[in-house]
Amino acid sequence: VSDDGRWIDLALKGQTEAFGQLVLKYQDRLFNTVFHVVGHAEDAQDIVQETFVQAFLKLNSFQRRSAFFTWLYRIAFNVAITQRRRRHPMASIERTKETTRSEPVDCEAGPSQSLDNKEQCEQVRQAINRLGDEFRTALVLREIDGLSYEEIAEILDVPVGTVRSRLHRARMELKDQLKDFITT
Amino acid sequence: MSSLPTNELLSAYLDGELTAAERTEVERLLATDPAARQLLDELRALSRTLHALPKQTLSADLSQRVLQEAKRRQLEARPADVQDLPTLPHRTFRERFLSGRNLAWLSLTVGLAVLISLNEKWQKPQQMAHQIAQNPAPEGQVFDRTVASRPGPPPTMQAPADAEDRKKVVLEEKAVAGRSKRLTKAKAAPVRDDVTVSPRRSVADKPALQYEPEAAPGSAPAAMPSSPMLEQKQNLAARTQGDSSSKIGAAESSVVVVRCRISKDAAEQHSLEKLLAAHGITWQDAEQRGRGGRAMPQEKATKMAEAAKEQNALAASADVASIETTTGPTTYETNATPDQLTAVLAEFAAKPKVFAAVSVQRVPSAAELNLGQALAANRENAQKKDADKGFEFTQQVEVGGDMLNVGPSGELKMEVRNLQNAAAKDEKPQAAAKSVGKKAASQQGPRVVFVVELDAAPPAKK
Repeated sequence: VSDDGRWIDLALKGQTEAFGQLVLKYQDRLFNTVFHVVGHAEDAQDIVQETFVQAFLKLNSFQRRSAFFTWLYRIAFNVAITQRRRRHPMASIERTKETTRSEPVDCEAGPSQSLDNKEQCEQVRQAINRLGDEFRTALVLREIDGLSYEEIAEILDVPVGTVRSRLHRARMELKDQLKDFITT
Repeated sequence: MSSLPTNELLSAYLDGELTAAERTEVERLLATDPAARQLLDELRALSRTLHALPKQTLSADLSQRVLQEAKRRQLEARPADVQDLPTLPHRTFRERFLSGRNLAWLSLTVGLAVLISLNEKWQKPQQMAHQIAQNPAPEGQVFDRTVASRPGPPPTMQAPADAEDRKKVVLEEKAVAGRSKRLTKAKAAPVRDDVTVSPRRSVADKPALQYEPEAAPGSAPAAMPSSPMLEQKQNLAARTQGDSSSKIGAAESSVVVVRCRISKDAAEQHSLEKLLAAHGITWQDAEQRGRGGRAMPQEKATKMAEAAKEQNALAASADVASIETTTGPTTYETNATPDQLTAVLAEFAAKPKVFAAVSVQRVPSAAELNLGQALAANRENAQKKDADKGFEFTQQVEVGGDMLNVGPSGELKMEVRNLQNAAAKDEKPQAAAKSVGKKAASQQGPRVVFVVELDAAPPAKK
């Protein structure tokens, strides 16, 4: 039994601290992914917290046919969709892109800053934010989080072929946006 | 390289997500097509750029916040939803029962019960009846008495306006003796009454006396302590019925039952009657009740007291029973303001050798009984006695300066020692007497039934 499985067992037996361990383990990873999907740190934190709360409340429905984090990500994306509907009930994808475009991004945080400068970093993030939701999500899960196609397909509840095509289209769009400073 | 599937294969090739056959196909393409190699290089560069983005981390540990929020939602969830939750064993019955949704449903249920009850009583005031369970003691030589029914609330006895007059009345009323009361055994013994005066009493297997008060339309509402929740419902009902609030108030009047055990000597000396008279509290005359329920005038009370004194009291007529030869409690139906009641109870407390084992209980009106039944039903549903211990809709109500606990069925819980404190202040009896003089004529007190039982054991030995 993995650590995740053991903590889940303990949490189901009433030891809530065990679920706290799961939160600690996944909160940053999930936050980083959600941040790049929603493009806003506060929204991302709200979504991550809500995701863990819902995961805790629904823990007994976790069938363990997939990895815990996969299940967690699936909850997170549902939460993100719900939250955005609640906050922007009439917003279309295009309008959403407009609102996220100007939102601040933090390009100074993190240890692995290898982009040349803060401006480049911000351009990349804005380019990501301009992608359509389904393409951005697939791209982030693959490029930022490093998930496999199968895992992405499971999280997004789409076939692997769909993941492949969405990912390719996302890359092509992003490449066009960033062609000025992408060096081969 | 222009076909979309081929482009997708390149992207998947970059990710290592191709089958062996697909990989072979892509590698063959790359070997022969410079455009394909160019695209692959650009995709690799893009991937590097994306990987170079700084990782975002949370500055705080979310675990405690998450667990607190999850627990809060569990408390709000319905029990049915909560049963499978991970931390269910940590949630007490109290937490589950007192959740927001449950309280909302309970409030709705209680509100409907009160409104229905009010409506019924408003339409059929003559059919109003609620019962006080009495539990005649198996031991001792006492007999059961009760007051039958009362068509309307009796006016309170005119009380002296100042201390001089009060002294006079006290002297006059020292002669007040025992009273004639109609004996009516009840057919059944329904009704709540989980508070017993004496440990020798048993609720379940005792015959009960039936008490059927009827509130006259238009009579003044009893100034009784009631639970804030009930008052809120009553106010709501009053608003919904226009200007009929006073009638509703009368219909909602409840009964305070004061139980005490008195010594044989005290019974023979009619100590209780004298005490009630001293505080301007009248009690119901059986004959008057039969003719329409007027309260006994003070003059008649005095005459009766004198006659009783001369004739050695209660044993004289068929309607008057001797306390020495009968068994069961004696009841006195009265009206008393909270101040009067407090003053009487203070005297009880001050004379423990005369009045022992005093308890005060408010028997709820029919509407309150519905309230109590609704609460009791919820408690029964719980079927967890241990958990239930922590659950009480107890509220505090001020009566005559004492804070009383109103239990889930609307009953009052008063300890005699609280009244002793009130008596020690030496203000409340005086204040009560003063209020008797000034307010008795205009202020209609609540219905108070004094249930007096002969104390077989000498109080001094207790």
